[in-house]
Amino acid sequence: MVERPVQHPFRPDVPAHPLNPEGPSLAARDEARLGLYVHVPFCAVRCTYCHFSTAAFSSAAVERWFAGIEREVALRAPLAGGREFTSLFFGGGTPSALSARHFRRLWDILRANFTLASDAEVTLEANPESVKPTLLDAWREAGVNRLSLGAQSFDRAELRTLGRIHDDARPGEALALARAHGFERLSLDLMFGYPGHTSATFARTLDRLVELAPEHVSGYCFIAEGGTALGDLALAPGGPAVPDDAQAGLYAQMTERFAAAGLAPYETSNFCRPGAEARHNLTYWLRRDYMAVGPSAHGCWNGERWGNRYATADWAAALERGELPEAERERSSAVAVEEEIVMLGLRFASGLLARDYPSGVWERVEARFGGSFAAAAAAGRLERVEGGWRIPPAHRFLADDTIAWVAARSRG
Amino acid sequence: MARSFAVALLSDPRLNNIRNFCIVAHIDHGKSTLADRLLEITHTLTAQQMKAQVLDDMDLEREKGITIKSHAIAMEYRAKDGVNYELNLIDTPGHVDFTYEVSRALAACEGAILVVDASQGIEAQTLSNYYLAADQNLTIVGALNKIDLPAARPDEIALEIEHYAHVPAEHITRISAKTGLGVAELLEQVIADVPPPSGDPDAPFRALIFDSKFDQYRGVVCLVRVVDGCIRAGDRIRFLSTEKLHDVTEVGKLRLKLEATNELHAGQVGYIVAGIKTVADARVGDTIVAANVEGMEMLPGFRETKSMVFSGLYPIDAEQYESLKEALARLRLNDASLMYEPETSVALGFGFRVGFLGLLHLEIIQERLRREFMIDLIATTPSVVYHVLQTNGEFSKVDNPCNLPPPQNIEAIEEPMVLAHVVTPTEYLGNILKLCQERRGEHVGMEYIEETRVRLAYKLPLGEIVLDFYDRLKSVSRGYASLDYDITGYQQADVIKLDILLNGEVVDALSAIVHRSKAYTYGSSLCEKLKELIPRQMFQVAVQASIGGKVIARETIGAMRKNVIAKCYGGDISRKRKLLEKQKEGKRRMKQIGTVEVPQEAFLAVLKVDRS
Repeated sequence: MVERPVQHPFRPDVPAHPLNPEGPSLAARDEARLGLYVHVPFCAVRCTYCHFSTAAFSSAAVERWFAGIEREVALRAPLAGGREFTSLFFGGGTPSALSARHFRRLWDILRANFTLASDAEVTLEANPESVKPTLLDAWREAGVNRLSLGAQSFDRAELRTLGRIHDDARPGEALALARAHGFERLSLDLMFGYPGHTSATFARTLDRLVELAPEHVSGYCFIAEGGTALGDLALAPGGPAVPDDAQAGLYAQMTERFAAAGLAPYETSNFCRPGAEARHNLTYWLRRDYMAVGPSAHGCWNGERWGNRYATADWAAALERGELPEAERERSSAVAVEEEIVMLGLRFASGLLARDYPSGVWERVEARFGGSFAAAAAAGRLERVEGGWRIPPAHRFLADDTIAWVAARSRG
Repeated sequence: MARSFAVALLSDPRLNNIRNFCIVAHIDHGKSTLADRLLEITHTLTAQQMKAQVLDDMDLEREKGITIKSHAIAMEYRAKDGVNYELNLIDTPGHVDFTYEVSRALAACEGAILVVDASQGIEAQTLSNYYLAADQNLTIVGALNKIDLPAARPDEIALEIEHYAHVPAEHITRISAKTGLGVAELLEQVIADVPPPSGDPDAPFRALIFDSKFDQYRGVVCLVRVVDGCIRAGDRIRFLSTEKLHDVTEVGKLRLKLEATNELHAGQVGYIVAGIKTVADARVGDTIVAANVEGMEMLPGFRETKSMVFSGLYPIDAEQYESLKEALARLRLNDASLMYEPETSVALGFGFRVGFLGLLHLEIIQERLRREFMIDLIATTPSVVYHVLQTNGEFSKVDNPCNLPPPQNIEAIEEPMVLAHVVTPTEYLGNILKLCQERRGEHVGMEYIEETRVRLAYKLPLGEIVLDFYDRLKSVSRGYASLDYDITGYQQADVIKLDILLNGEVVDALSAIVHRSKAYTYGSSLCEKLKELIPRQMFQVAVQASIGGKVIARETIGAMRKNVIAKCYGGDISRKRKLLEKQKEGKRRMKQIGTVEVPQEAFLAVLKVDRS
């Protein structure tokens, strides 16, 4: 693993030391300090598996969303108090559905209100079919330095099942185009284990993905969400759902193929080349602060978590009344903080490390979970790593079982 | 009716206006709803006090639709004849585990309303309860309920009642307990038909305890039917089964709450408080008499309650041991049939060996501990008491399979036997004979009660029937067969201890004593059942059955391969948190035994095993 010397975000006393073979690296952990998320809800077509907050594209809808973003940014930015964001993430929906002109307008709003670190990671989620030279120029010019493309599959029939409108060649073309426009950090989203998915078609998809040599891949196991077309199909009694064991087989197949291609796992569903971890996501998983704007966006700030209203119209209406557009907000109790640290940290391939958390907080984690960590290690569920604990690689697809096991045996 | 008329003439005038009765019915035929209507008509409750099924005051009773404790309530009613009557309605438990308690409650009555659903017709419980009532010579008042339902067949069902319960069809009142239709007429009929109590108010005091309960402020409250004489606060009383003396501090009537009165006299139903600390000193069926009168005779029918089934109860969380101890003590205050003593298990740690009347009793206690005392429990394989003679001449009683001496030290083992009576329509006879044979039954006799119904007598090992015999009987007879049994003594048996191993470790809590001829099939089916009940885990689990160290059956639970939520949604981790809470709860309900997480249900697998 390539280590770059990076200062710990808030503990100058913590020395850098050699790391486990798998990520996230210490440098990547230290770089993920403060995140900013912007939700762009628009989609041309809704995917058959998606239950995220989306809205039909129309110029009136986009104008109302912009007005909402301006209002929300005005309400939230003062809280940031000039803190430097180390990552910015445009998620959706489909952020690439915004025109170059609209994107520049959005960018201007953000720049005018938030401070971005000079080396901030700026990611934009894009659909392969929407990646065009004019947009790439606009993104690049603004400062986007990482693209996350929803490839999902390289099989035409499967893409139709998933409700994707691009064909199997399009992700490759989009990737090449992005590279030609100077993007060096490219990620592909892949899905497996959906109805009809087989090991044979997955092998071809994995081969084609590896040929494209992305820096980063998110490989998500299909989750049947009730209320989505594909989810309802899979959930129907006797439906074509892929059994857990077969999904586990596909996960193993993927992990193996990626390892051969130099893509190492660093989180349950994420793989990358050395140094290419998604910094923004690390912010979530390390339980550091992140600000969020847009419908359904979730923030974690100064010990409180909040979630915005899910539907774009509700979110916009609240802002138009001059209110915060939140559906929920809670102050995280000490118990919740400690449990979240464990729940999220144990998903890392290189483990849950004491060094990542403020002094005092980790001591409380130790006090509550120390006994159960040791018991889990004795039961073969956890491995000791320097400065922390990790789930053995063979059990990564069973992470929740061990996390629940450990949590059920914690004190208090 | 001639009989009641004669009794009424002979009865003391002070008793003439009293009617003591109960309602007997099959489950769901409307017993509780009818009780509610009676309380309403007699203005015993104001509309505000009225809530559905007032008499079943435990949540558990409402849920299971059965009455576990006896209840009684006194009502006042001005009948059409212009006379004010004192009506005592006694509600009875409804399960074979509590047959004795039912018989005592019925013994406190002179009449019974037999309620039959006008669409369902006569069912097994209707008859078994009818026979219990007829045994006590109660006057039966027939009622056809739910006649407002479209599926009602009142004429047909009335003939059925006439045939089986010997109540003339034209004399059966048609009601809807739900709407109240016909209920006033039914009450008039109870007054007309049910005789007033007999008994001599001037004789020395004598009363039957038909239930007792613990009250936080008063101590034990005895629910009684006064047979002779009368009682007031300040009187000294004697309990005939224990010869214990107590001073009465309060007597009264059983209204919605206890309502103190100056006295209770012959024929009346009410309560007595006399500084008694535990219900074990005020046993159901015991006779209370005036302390100063010698030579008083016990009322017939008293029986010591005896535990039939034993099971170990262990808290899942060892830290709840003290709470479990306190909870059992609390339950015991109100349940004289509950016996317990501390025991330890290698697999489960510290707990209690608890004696129950039967399986339903076990389930109820477990459920109450869970709900009322918030204790998560594991119950070990239920067992009966074996008599063991060792080669060194030592004799012991074994109610826990783990305490069975090693086979080479055993000279002989005896198991408890019962004489069981099963009443069934003839069409299920074949099924029932087969069931009794499977349970090592010895046919003793059979008689036709009438052309279509028989009464079977079988000698059966108690160990073969306490667990699931009643459920199986109900299922092979579509609910029509009824069961009653009495312990007859002990008989030598070729039984052995069967152990269950999880990943090579013996789980003492799953050991069982079984008949040698059945050990193999039983061991295999238990392994199969455990494979169903123990969820797949991170590691493979071997489930084995063994006898004396020799493995006779094995099942393998393959390792789980997936348990992960793929994605944390864009910083929204609440969904994952909720999932974790659920999974954590699931984990907490499991007991870690060695490397294996075992759910509570697995410890009762023995009850779900097909033993045929």
